[in-house]
Amino acid sequence: MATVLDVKDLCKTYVTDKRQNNVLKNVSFKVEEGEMVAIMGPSASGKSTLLYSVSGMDEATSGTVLFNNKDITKLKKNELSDVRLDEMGFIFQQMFMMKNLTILDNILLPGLQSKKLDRTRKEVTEYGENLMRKLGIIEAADNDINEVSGGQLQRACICRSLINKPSLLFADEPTGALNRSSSDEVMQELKKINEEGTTIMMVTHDSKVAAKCSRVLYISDGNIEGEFYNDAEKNDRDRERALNNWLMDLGW
Amino acid sequence: MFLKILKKDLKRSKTMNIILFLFIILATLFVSSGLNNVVSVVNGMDYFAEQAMGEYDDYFLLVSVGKDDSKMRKTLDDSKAIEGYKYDTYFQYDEYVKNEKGKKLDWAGMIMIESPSSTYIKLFDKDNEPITKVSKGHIYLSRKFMRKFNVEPGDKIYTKLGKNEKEFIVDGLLKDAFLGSEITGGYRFFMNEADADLYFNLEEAKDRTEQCVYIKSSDIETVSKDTADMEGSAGGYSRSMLTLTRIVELIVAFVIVILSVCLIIVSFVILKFSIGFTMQDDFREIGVMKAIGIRNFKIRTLYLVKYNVMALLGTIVGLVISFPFGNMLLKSVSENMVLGNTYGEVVNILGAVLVFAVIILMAFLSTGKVKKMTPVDAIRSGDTGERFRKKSGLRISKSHSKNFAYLAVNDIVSSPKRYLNIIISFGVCTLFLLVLSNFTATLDSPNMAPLMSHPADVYLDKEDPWVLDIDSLINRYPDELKNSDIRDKKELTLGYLSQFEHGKDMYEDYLKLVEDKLSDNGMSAKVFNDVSYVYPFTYKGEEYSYNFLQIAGDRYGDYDIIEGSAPCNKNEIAITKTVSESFGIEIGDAIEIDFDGTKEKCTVTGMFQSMNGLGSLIRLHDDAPTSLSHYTGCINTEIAFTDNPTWDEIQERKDKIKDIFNSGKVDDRREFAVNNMGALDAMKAVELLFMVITVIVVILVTIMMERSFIAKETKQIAILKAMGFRDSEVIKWQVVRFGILAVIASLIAMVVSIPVTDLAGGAVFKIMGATSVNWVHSMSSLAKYPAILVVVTVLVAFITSLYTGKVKARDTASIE
Repeated sequence: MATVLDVKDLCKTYVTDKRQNNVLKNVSFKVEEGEMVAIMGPSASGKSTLLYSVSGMDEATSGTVLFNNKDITKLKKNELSDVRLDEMGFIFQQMFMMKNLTILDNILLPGLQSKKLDRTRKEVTEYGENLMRKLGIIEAADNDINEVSGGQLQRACICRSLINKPSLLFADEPTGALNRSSSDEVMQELKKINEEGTTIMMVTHDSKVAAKCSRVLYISDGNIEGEFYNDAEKNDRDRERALNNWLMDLGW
Repeated sequence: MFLKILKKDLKRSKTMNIILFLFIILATLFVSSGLNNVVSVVNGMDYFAEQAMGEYDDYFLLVSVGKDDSKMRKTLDDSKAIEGYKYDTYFQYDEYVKNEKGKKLDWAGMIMIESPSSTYIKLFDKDNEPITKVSKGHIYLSRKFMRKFNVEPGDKIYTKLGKNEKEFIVDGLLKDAFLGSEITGGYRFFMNEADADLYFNLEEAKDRTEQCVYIKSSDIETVSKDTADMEGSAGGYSRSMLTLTRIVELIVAFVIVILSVCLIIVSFVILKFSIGFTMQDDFREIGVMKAIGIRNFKIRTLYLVKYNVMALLGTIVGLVISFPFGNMLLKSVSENMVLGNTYGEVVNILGAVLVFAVIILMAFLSTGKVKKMTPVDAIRSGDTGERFRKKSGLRISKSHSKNFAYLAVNDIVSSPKRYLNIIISFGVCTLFLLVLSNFTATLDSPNMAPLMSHPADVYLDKEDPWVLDIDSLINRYPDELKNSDIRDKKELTLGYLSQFEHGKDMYEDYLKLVEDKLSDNGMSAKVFNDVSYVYPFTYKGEEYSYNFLQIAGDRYGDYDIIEGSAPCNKNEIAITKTVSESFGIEIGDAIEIDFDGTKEKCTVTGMFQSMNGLGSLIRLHDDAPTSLSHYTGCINTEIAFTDNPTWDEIQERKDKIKDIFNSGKVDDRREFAVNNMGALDAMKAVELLFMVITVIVVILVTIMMERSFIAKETKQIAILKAMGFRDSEVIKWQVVRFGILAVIASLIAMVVSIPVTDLAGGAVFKIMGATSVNWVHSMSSLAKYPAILVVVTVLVAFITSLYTGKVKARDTASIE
């Protein structure tokens, strides 16, 4: 398996009011192709900062982030934008969307912006509709973003993140704003997408969600404190129990 | 705690608060100076007349009295309708005026030499102070004379005094309420008593001493009748006529007033937006305050305190600036008029109070939303759960434009109401600028010439008659001309020829000589002149003294008839709408004109339009039995080429005619119209001023709106960047959206400007006697200003949208 993401000695320091805040301290880890990795940790441990730093949305203070063997910390602003557009997908807790566009148009927007796949407008549209069909929200294609449920909207965000066939999908608390049933639906979809070959890296607080991933990284005070491999052979409940035991051992 | 929240608010929304503060200042500036200007202009002529003539300002007469004014005084004393009168005595000067370089100034009309002791009317200097004393050897000149001939204070001018020359040092301009307007012909030369007496003591003073009479009366119709037959009278003018002579200046003044109103509208639209915006932006704070139990009233008070402080400071600053600003706006008009109002600074203060009250009212109404906001608003980040309508038929999958362009268009189509403020602000400014531009372009075109005289190609003034065979004229009228002083004359004016019994025939023969001379030089043309007379006429048993117009010479073509047909014989006349409305005369009606005892019944066959005398004139047929003894004025020698030359050919011929007749002044139609209207420079100055103000307003509106959009759209900008959109794409989205709005506003303004110009401008010209104006709506005048405004908008939107660079993809994590 190829390494999609290779993070070495990543540091991130914020300076506020002349005070240094070292949020990430020499973080190193790898994500292999086809993996579904969850990052867990207490509040203010640096989970989201890690996600934003390795995805190029935030600038690392030091260290390297090899994404598909390309050090994205060395890329210029526009090159980073192009990498995010063509090769990464993003799902956020708040389900941000452009408010004057319909659900389908929101999904198509990055697809039409990208030149990577050299697709026609029609091909992008068909691909977007297929994604919606696959995630069961095709009937909401022409709906306004305020006309659908939270679960539907997050599934639309998943569609949008997949429109350019990314090699790595980043998700920041993808179920954080959803109720339990919507949360389960979204996780099932993400699991399915991962099984189809898309690598996923997500930040979550929820051990039930993390238990569905293949690997869990535990971060605390800017350091990765441990790594846990979920047993694919076990059922969901057993995996969650095992994960919770491991987390308790780490002081969760 | 309130102070802390207030301090935090001022710091957090610094840019928006600064812009709001600037708009409060601007609104106060425009409202205060605008209101003062409205009051000053509306009362403009009344105020000026009252300052200059006191209560003797109901009716005016110009009478040639010579050394003995007893007959005139008897007529005035006998009239029961006259409650009182005052008069100026002046010497009517018609010789040369030279400047320091010895160049003769090319003036036309009448120069009135007078002194403070011989003058009743108050004449004002540039500082609006009455001129009560003039030093010996010094002189004040009518402002229009100084402007026309570039005479500056301190310059020397020379006039003829008998066989000698008299030198004067120019002390400055004088503002004249009676004859100061650009469209009246007289100039006042106001000098020391001793200097004026040198002229009054000349031999020729017996024929050249005249009086200008200011009459107090509540029945001017009777005064008009009582003085109709007064010997030496050159006509009477009512107060309303006097106001109308100022119409050109008042047009400029009203343009300034409309400008002020226009800016007031824009200011209030922007104020409403910015107050509403800053309130809505605070939903979280308000929600939290409510959640911790602070009452609505207290929360509203917090915001009201903020707006009160801003409004108070802003209106004070605006009020202070409004005084010099208002004076600057009215400068172009007040150079020739004493404009003002009896209320003075109170009007400005009232304007400022009005703005303050409006801001507080708007703030109060906007803070009313506090009642509707709940703690949930804070929790739900301001989302109300409102279900939006389907926004538009635009779909990105079907669009062929780039994403940034699609987003820009889609935003506008989806929520047009959001962008209405910008369209209104830009549209109103552009519309007014375009109307002004159309107005100026029309004044600067040949289109106005036919409204002032019978149409001609060139207008020849001050030609040298001695290039013609004047001896043939003398031989034709030996009895009258052989022993006359015609050989001493440098020009042959109608005024000069009017002393001869056959003066009119002589003049027509003279015009024929001009025509022959042109023909000898390869220019086939007809030469004629529009001559004005005053004759009494009777209609429905009432007798009136009125102005008549008749072509002298060999006319070419016909003037425009707007209704009916042109007179075909001496018993037919054409009238203007003004005449029709004044006397109730219609086509088909007949009036009886008294041509020196020969009473001719003349039927009205048509209506024409003329701005001469503001339309108060009747056109006679060329054969009507007029006499130069009733002559009151004329246009320049008019030349109409009969071989239809092109505009370029006319320009070439102009130069040729200058050479042939040794004349420095040959005008084409455009120049003739521009010189006669005299408002072009003032209109161009106002146009430029408004252009600058509009650009400033557009810049401020764009900055404020764009910053508010960025603030509102931070979430969307961040998500676009997170998805991989480059900064340049986001900037393009923002800039294109503003560009589209500016283009929409400009297009609407361009389309609307055509009927609005016709309507507003038509109303103005109607007052001046022209009922149908051929407006210039050239693409250059229509496209110039919208293009400038769109470019400015796009440029400012681009600079402001660079601020989107501060929004990072990472901000998706911190957006609530």
